[in-house]
Amino acid sequence: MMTREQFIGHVKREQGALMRFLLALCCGNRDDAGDIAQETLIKAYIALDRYDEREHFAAWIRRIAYNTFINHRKKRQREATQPIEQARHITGGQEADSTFVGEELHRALAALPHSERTAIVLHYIEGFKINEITQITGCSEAAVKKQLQRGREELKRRIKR
Amino acid sequence: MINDNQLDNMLRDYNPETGNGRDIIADLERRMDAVDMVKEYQERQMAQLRMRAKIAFAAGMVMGCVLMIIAYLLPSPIEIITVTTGSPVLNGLIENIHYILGSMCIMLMMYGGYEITQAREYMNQKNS
Repeated sequence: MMTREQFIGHVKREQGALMRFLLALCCGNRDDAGDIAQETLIKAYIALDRYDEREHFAAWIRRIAYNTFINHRKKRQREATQPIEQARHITGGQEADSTFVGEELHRALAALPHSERTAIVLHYIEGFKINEITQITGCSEAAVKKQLQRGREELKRRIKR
Repeated sequence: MINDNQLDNMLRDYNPETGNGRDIIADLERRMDAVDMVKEYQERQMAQLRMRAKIAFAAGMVMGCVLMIIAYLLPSPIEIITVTTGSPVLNGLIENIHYILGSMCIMLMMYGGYEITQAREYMNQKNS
């Protein structure tokens, strides 16, 4: 089993890429991406005894991050249904980072369904192969190919130059 | 609308500022310490449970076997009744001594089994 020090070593190497992945999934929302990253890493540490060392650490951590992102999104959707009076008291960190130059890409990504967004980010930004994406998201190869195709078309349509 | 090349370039060049890595690691290590503390506590609990289960099982087996042997080594119940007592309650008990001792053996063995089941259940809960 991986030791605590080995785990921290892996995290140090992966944290930049993990944050980039989550920032793209969260369409530039740094607060959400940071929260999900922390939750992902601690979940990974708790589940360390179930980590199969034959699997690539980067793919394993992305799978946990993806599942955490989905749970986070569901939680957000539930919160969105609460009365406006309660919603008024929610403060801070809700807007996407407008200073980032890729804001246009974030806006376009935000318009995609999360499955297409995830496939696009994993394949074109993170460089994962289609068979690796199927392991991370649990979708079939045909579904991932379709998500990539649809996602690309939608991004091209939405991004204007 | 942009073309394929422009989109590919845009995605390839996506490299946002990902913040201070040291903060993430420091925060993570703090949380890991808390997790380690809980894990250690659970390990201790597990070790105690395992030990209790082993002792209970061994005690159940030994006691059960000893009682079983004693039950069959005792003289015939009829002889004891005639020699020792005329009390009808005691007579009834002595007449059925094989059954009583046999039941006690089974109860002790069952208790050992129960303790092991409890320990396994706890382990399963912990793993899930």
